[in-house]
Amino acid sequence: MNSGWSRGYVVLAGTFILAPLLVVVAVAFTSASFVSFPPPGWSLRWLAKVLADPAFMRPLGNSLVLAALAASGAALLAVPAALALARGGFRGAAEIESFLLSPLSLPALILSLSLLFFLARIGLGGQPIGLWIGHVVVTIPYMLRTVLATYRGVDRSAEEAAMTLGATPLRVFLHVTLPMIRPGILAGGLFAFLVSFDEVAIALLLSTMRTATLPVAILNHIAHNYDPAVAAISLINIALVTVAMLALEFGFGLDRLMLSRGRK
Amino acid sequence: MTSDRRRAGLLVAPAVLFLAGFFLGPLLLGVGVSLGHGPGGTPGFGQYTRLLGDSYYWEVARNTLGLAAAVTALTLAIGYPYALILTRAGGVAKTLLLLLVVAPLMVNVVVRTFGWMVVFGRAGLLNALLRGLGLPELDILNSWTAIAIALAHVLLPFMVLSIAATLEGLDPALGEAAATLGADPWRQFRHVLLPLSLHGAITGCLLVFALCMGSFVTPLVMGNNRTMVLAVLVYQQLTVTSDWAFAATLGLVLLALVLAVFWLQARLARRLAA
Amino acid sequence: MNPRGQLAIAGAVKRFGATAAVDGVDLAVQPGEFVALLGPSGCGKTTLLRGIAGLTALDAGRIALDGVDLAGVPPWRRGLGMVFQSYALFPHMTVAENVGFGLRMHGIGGAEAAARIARTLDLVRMEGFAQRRPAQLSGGQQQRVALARALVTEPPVLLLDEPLSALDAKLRHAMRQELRELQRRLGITALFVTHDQDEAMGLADRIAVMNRGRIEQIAPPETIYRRPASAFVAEFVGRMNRLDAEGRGMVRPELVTIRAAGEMLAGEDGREGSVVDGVFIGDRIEIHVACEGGRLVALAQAQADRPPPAIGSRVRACWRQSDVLTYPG
Repeated sequence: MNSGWSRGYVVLAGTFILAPLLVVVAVAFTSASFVSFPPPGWSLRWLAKVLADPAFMRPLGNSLVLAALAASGAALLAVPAALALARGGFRGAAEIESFLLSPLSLPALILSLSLLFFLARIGLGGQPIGLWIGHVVVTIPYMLRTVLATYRGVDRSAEEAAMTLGATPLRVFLHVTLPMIRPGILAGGLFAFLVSFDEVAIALLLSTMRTATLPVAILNHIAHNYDPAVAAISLINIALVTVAMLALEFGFGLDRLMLSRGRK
Repeated sequence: MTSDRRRAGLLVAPAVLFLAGFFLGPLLLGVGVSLGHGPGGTPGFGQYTRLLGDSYYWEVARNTLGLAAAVTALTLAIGYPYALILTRAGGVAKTLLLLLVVAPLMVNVVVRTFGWMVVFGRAGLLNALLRGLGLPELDILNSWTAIAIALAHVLLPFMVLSIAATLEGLDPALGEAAATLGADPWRQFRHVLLPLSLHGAITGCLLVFALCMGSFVTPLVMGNNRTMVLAVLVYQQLTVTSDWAFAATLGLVLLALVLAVFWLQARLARRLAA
Repeated sequence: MNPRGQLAIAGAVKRFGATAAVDGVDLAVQPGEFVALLGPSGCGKTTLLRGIAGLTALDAGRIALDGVDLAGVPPWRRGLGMVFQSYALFPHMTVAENVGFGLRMHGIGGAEAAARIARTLDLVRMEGFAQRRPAQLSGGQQQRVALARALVTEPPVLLLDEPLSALDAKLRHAMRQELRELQRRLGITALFVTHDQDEAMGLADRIAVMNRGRIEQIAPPETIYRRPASAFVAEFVGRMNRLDAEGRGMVRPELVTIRAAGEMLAGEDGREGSVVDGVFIGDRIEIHVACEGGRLVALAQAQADRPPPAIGSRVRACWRQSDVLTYPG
């Protein structure tokens, strides 16, 4: 394949991929009071405004708390299931696995709508717990898939070796299994966190003014006023996600480095 | 043996019960609501006859499918060459290309849609470029074209990853074998790479198609009443009209369309595997 | 005999970054000859083969086929047959379509293609499998299809990249013999890459032993074994006793005789030591003797009436002075 053509193509595709993100970053620093590109001048006024505005800061806090709680909930439910499913060998294991993964293939809007009816019926309409339930439902598949892949990829004879060396099932789990699948749990947790942090459909229908998440707040803001505040809060959103990604990637790298050194 | 099975049961039970209660249960309830078993509804297929009898909803359904088809074609056109270049790259270039295509996934859909509004807006990037070139400005922010481009941007990673996964699994020696047998690069692609990557391309297309039908944030924010799709209509029935029974009905029609796409995918996959 | 198929390689060089995978190789292969490129992994043998096929561009050197320089000729115009280590059968095509691919690329179709496909499948004894897909074949059958696919266009030279390494030991043996007979029957020039010395010995008219991108010796198998040109070849092919730490003097185990302590014949050299192990391997027995300056291994015919020396007994390991191979350190 002609590398000149390839390079040209990658530049074009890269422009397409990055353009909408870069314009947001640029507009976040505009000095104007309206959205325009290129910005007529530069300032930090919109970032300052957004950081001081509870209409954005409270939803941001809500989003962080919800994402952490949803990821923890998904981990508590999905990790044990992944352990059992990876070992397999019981009737219906394949069916249970597809069932636990099925929220992935359903449009989030449909799930959101059904949950809205359901929570109203059982008297949880408008309650924060409803939001948490919805986000746990959509993050379970990510957690399950990542841990399953990790556990299926490791050499399970290490567990058998531990047993022949006299370890009880609990100690096998704590000292052998858990360290082996820890990268999977961390990666799955990160995935679940990001999915919840970015989720719109469920949050839009199940949250209230008080429990609105960041994407919902941004969406509401766009609906009523199209101003650079959206770009500023979006920039904060992008920055937070990037920092979280880098921090975990860095942590992962260090973790693996330490593990391999330990083995030698 | 029995205790092993019991332990497995105990381990999967919490997740299964949680999803049975908060995923399957609500869906079944949704079916019930659409059949008039909600507050203030009259049981029966009334909502469905209302839906099928009104040509407006048929038009919205056509719009939804048309938009999904256009977005799918767009992501395929952009994504296939990208996946090809990605799988052929090595080392750092490969990592960077992968990061480039996956990174937008980490940015929330609302933010990305806002980004396209800045690109297509009247005082946006596109018009700044057109002005610079001395061309007339465009007002396409609320158009199908703009929505399709923004959705293609949102869904491109799914297309690229589906195709790249298939290409990545191919033995690199296949193309070389074809070369030693007299096939020039175009014929290596035409007779070996293309047929073998078809599976990934079809998977990617159906995935993007299904995801596109379910997306409502981008058409909601960028569109107006002229550019109505099923998902946005569902949302409006819920929040504006508060007609739960009809929202449930529309939602289930959407779900049926999505499931039909997945069924088609499973069938094609089996056909290709045979 | 095929009059075509003379391959001449001169000064071939291929660098990857700072390391030279192929570092100045000269090799001349005569029409109808079977040459094995033998060496450890990373010695450059596969890179050289890929260079000949045109799949890897060489940095320097000249490759000529029947006197025609192949510089700048892309792989699809070289017309060489190649069998890949992974076979690289096209999974979406039937066996017949796989074999017919080369004909199709050369614009040969219809009855002629069908006849040639059938004839070639006959040749590799796969005539009943034309409509199968590669996934429905065993490893050995896939190997035959890969061979048929490379042969159907009647190329002047057949390049084989460790084609037997994916097969189990028994099948590998059978396929080796079949491959040899087929190559003789067709009179095709063959260049075969392997890291398995038994394979190279069993197949090739001449073996080129490669190490660090260079050919250390090219000669018939017997010469390679009996008169290795370098210490590397001596130790890489067959087993060897080092008589000193640097490997300046070496002797093969089967040329070492175990005698009673103090005994030695005229013209012999030897070392005393105690027996540490006797390993019975079918018709022969391997005796390990711990001597001053290292362990020596002797390989002797196992004789029912003469039991091997007991472990711990003092013996003398002897060899004829003329059997010692010497190399400058």
